[in-house]
Amino acid sequence: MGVLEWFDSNLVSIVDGVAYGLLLFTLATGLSLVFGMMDVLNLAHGTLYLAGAYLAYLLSDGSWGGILAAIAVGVAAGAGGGALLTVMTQPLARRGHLDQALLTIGVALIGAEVFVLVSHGDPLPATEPAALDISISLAGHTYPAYRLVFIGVAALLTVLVYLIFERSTLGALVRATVSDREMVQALGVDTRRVLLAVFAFGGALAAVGGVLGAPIIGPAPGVDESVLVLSLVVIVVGGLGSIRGALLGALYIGQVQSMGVVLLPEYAPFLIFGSMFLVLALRPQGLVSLARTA
Amino acid sequence: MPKYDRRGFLRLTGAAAATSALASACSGSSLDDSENAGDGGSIKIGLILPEGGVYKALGDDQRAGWNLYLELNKKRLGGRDITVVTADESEDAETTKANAEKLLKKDNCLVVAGMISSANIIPVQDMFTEAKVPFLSTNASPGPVQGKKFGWRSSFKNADPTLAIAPYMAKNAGGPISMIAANYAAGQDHVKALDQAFKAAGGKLAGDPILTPFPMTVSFQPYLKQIEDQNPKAVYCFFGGADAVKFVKEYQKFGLSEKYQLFAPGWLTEGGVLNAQGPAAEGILNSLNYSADLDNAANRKFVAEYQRKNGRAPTSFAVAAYDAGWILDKAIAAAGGDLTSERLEKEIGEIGQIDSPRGPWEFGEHRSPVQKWYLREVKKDGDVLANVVIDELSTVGID
Repeated sequence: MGVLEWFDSNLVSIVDGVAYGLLLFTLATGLSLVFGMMDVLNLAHGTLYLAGAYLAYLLSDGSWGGILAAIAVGVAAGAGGGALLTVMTQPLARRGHLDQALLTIGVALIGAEVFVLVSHGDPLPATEPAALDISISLAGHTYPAYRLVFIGVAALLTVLVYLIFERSTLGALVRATVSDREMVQALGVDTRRVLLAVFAFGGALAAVGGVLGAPIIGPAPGVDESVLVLSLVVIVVGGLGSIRGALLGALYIGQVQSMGVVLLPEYAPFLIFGSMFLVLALRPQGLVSLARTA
Repeated sequence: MPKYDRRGFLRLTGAAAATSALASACSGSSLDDSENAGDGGSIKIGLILPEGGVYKALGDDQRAGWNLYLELNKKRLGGRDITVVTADESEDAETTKANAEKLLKKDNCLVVAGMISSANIIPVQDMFTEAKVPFLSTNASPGPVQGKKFGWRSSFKNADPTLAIAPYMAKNAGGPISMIAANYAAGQDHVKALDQAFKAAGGKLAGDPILTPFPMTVSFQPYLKQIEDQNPKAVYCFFGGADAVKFVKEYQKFGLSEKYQLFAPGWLTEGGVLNAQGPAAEGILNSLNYSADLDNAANRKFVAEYQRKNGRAPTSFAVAAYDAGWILDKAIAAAGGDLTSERLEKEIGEIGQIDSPRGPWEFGEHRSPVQKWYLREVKKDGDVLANVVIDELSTVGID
């Protein structure tokens, strides 16, 4: 088979892998930065995605206004959730990782049970805007139109996040706080406010990921856990505390569960963790590592 | 001093995963002491069903069916006052076993009904068989429990819907079919059953069965591509819960529903998942032992009462729990004054034909139903999508 034919036959899988990669990026960014800055492993991060997806179910009725309302409420709810988690985890900051992880896992368990109560344990329908609820032809292959638009919107979001964190003064402050919090404090910056802002931003991004991702990974019991596991894999693969790491890791995992399955179908159940193992063995610091000295 | 390092992070992630497992192991025990009435004259019956977690929807349907039977019979079974002792079926098999053990040993239940998950029932059935107390499963019915003494099922045997629909597909699919299933015990049961029954009926598979990772298939797209590469005439699939929703939607969105007729065991589109699948489910042909539109006297009464009480149409899950009430009612009545667990075991065995909303059925040698299966099509019924019976399939469960 020629290169062109191979590409043609696998085009849909490659494109779909990009869609999943960008969806994972919206989740992994917040998780990675929050851990990088505050040492808080937020195991309730998947709950924020689920909350966003649930908002899409409640508010997105197939109209453009519906999805915009869901995004607006999602930003508010995600930012609020992130801020609340900051307030909850800060008193435990001195008690180490495990206590904070226990707290956030408690929040995640309560969130999962609340979702079961409101949904009666059923998966809920989340509709895309009616104009995008069609399938189009992608070089002769059928592909859902919504996912193409999702790729566009998520790519825009990614560029925005990248510019904010890697190119602006604000972003420099955040990155400096990740690298050396004490030094930033010594410069007279109230790092607690930076932490709060980053947690709220990460929460909002995860919830918006949930709103936009609902037609792809919809609101259902257990979704919070599976997206959390995937984003943990992404930041382990990508490297902690960096936007570039989260992006590379997310795109890599997106392709692994799409093209990886096409190429190695018999190993499908092991691909995600196998590829993580591969990265850990070859590049233990992750794909993108922040230079760090003791 | 660095605030964190990578090794520390990985250690923490591992610890967190372990904590998560631990937390889920503990989650079921909180509800234990909710009910333990010991009012002398009434008899104690245990009911173990999920009160939370991913199987809660099925648990709710079964509680609704069970409660309906009790209410229609003035909360008495076999003319006796009863106390129903409830327990939680957890997603964790050990917790479930502990909760079932409490019904058996602490509450001294005469008989216990319930149980959704196949993984949970296997150890629990052994415990009840040993204690000589009947366990009447309202759903879970995997291979290893079939035929075991003191075990009964009012539901089905796992692979029955596949055995029932295989000859129909061999005749009507118009050529070779592809099979795709979630890769766990139940999915593999259906793959095996299809391979056997479909070939026996003269059907041909278009390629090897396609198995998807369970419980985490992130995207079905690469598997849909495998189906297209097999170039079949139709597709048979086994999925449940969130997977069922995702698969059906992607099957339509990626254009497969226009090309290949989709067949499945009826759970693919049964209950709440159908609402989430929406129009993408239209036209799916599936095989189940019940549909709310069955036209018989028992079902007309059942549907009307169920709808009035719960505001939604009943599912096959509700019927199986309703039938469990019927079975215990008749068995307790037959036992009369000599009401022991062992006597009840004998009376359940001699119960004969069960007058169910799904149509009459009886227990086979394996102690699971021998019953008729129906071919259903997902269609608009007025404003809502429903599974409408379009044909009768064979009676299965005989061996």
